[in-house]
Amino acid sequence: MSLGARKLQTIRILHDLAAIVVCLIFLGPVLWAIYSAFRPSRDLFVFPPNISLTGFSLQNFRAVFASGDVTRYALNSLLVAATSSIITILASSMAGFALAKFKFPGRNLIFMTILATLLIPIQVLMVPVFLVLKTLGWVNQLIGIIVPPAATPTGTFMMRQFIRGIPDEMIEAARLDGASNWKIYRHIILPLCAPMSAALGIVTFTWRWNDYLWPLIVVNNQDKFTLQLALANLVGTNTVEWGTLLAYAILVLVPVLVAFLVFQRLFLKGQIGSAIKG
Amino acid sequence: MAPTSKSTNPLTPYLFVLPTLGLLATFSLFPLIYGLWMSLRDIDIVHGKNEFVGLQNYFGLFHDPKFGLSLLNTAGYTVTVVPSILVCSLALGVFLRRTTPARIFARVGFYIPFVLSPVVVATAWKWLLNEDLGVIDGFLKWAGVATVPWLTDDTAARISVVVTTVWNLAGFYMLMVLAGLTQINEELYDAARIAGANAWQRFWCITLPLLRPTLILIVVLATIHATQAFETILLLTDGGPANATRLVVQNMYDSAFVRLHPGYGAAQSILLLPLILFVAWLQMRLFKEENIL
Repeated sequence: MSLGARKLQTIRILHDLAAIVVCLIFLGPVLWAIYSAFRPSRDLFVFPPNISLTGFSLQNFRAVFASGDVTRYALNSLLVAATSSIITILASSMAGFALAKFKFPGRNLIFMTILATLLIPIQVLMVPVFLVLKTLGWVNQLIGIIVPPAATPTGTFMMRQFIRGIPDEMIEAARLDGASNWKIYRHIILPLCAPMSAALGIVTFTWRWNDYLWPLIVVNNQDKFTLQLALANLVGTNTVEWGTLLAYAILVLVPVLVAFLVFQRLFLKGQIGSAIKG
Repeated sequence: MAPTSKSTNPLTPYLFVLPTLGLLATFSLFPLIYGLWMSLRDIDIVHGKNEFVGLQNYFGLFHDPKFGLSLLNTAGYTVTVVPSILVCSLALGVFLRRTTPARIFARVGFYIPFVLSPVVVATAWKWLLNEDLGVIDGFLKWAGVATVPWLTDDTAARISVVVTTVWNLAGFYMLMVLAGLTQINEELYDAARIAGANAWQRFWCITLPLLRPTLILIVVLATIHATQAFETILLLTDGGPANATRLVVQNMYDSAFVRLHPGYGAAQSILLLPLILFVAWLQMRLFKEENIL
C-alpha cells in the first residue's frame, strides 16, 4: 500500500469514528433516558452521570405498573394501531385495484380528489372533524380515534402503483374461469400485494401508535386513554417522579424503536414514513 | 389497463373505491366545508348557542392580542427552525455520504428521533431541560457556567423549542439530502479534483448547486412542518412562559377545545388556509419543475 493510500485509509477510519461519536452524542437524550430509567431515582439528576455497571434497578418500572392502568392503555393503543392499519391496508388496496385495473367514468376525477385531500392541513380539520364525531356519537370512543385518519391518499397511491404492475393476464384468466371481481381481489390482488401491505401496515402502525393529536381531541375519558395520552397526562401534571416518567416513556417507545430497527430499510428507503404522515 | 369484460357490473369499480372515498369525504372534504360554515357562526358548546354571525369571528381575530402573538411566534419559530434544519440536514448528509457500515449505522441513529412520538420527545427533553436539576444545567454547573432556566425564560424557552424540533426532524431531512446526493455524478468530483479544487470548493461549486432542488424541497416541507407545529410544544412548554412559545395551532386548539368556541377556532384555521395552500401549491409546482413527482 502506498503512503498516500494509507493516509486516505486513516482519514476514512477517522471519519467513520467521528460519524459514530457524533451520532451517539446526538442520540444522547434517548440513550440517557433509557439508562436513567433503569437507575434508582437519586441518580436521575446527577452530573457527571453516575456511570457504573452495578446498581441497575427496575424500581421505576415497578412504579409504572403500580401507578394504574398501563395494561389497559397499552391494549387501547394496540387496538387503535392494529385496527386502523388493517382498515388502511384494505381500503387502500381496494381503491388501488379499482384505480389501476378498471376503466370507468370519473376515474381520474376520483383519483385526483383522493390525492387533493393531501393538501388539506390537519389543523383546518381538527375542529369540524370533532363535531362530525360528536354527531356520530364517536367522541370518547376508540372508534373515533381509529376511523377518521384510516383512509390515506398516499396509501391509495402506493397501492395503485403496485397493482398496476400485476399482469392483466392473471386477472383475465381468473375472469374466464368465472371468478367475480371480489374473488379476484381476495384471491389474486390481495395476496400479491402482500409486500406492499406489509410495508404500509408497519409504517401506519407506528404512526398510529405514536399519534397524540387525534386521541387528545377525541378522548378525555381515562378508560379510553392510549399510552401516549396517559404519558402526556403524567408529563403535564407530575414533574416530580421523573424516574417513573422516563420508565413510562421507555415502555411507550420500545415497540416503535424495535419496529424501526427491524424494518429500518423500509423507513429509510422510500419516503413512505413521511408520506403517510402527511 | 385491463380490458374489463362486458359481463362485469359497471358499479364494481365504484364499490371498490367507496371505502376510501367515503372516509375521505366524511373526515376531510365535508369537514373542510363544514369548518368554513362554522367560522361564520358563534358556537358555544357549554351554553348550547349556535347562531350565524357573519364575519364577526374574523373581525374578532384582528383585535385578539393572543392570536396576534401566536402568529408572531409562529413566524419567529418558522424563520429559526427552517434554516437550522436546512443547515443540519445538509451537514449530516454530506458528512454521511459514503456508504461505509459505520456511516450507515450513523444514518439509522440520526433518523431515530423522527420515529419517536411527540409525547416521548417532549418527556425526554423536559427532563433534560429541567431548570437547575436537569442534565443540561447539570453540565453547565459542572463546567462552571451559570445555569439557564430553559423552560421558564422567554428567550430560553423559544430556543429550547427550536432545538427540540431540529433534533426531532433533522434525521428525516438528512435522508432527503442523501437521496439528492446520489443523483450527483461522481465523475464531476474526480474532474474537479484533477483540476485542483479542494474539498470546500467542490462543496460550493458542485454539491451545493446540484442539490438545489432538494434544498428547495426541504425548505418548503420544513416550512409546512413549522407552521403546523403543536404537540411537542404543547407538552414541553404549554405555550409558556407568558405565551412566549404559543403557536397558531395551539391558539386554535385552545379556542375550540379548552374555551369551547369551535366557531372562533375554525375561523383561525380558515384564515391560515390560503397561506398554507399557497405553500402547498409552491411545493407542487416545484415537484413538477424538478421532476420529483
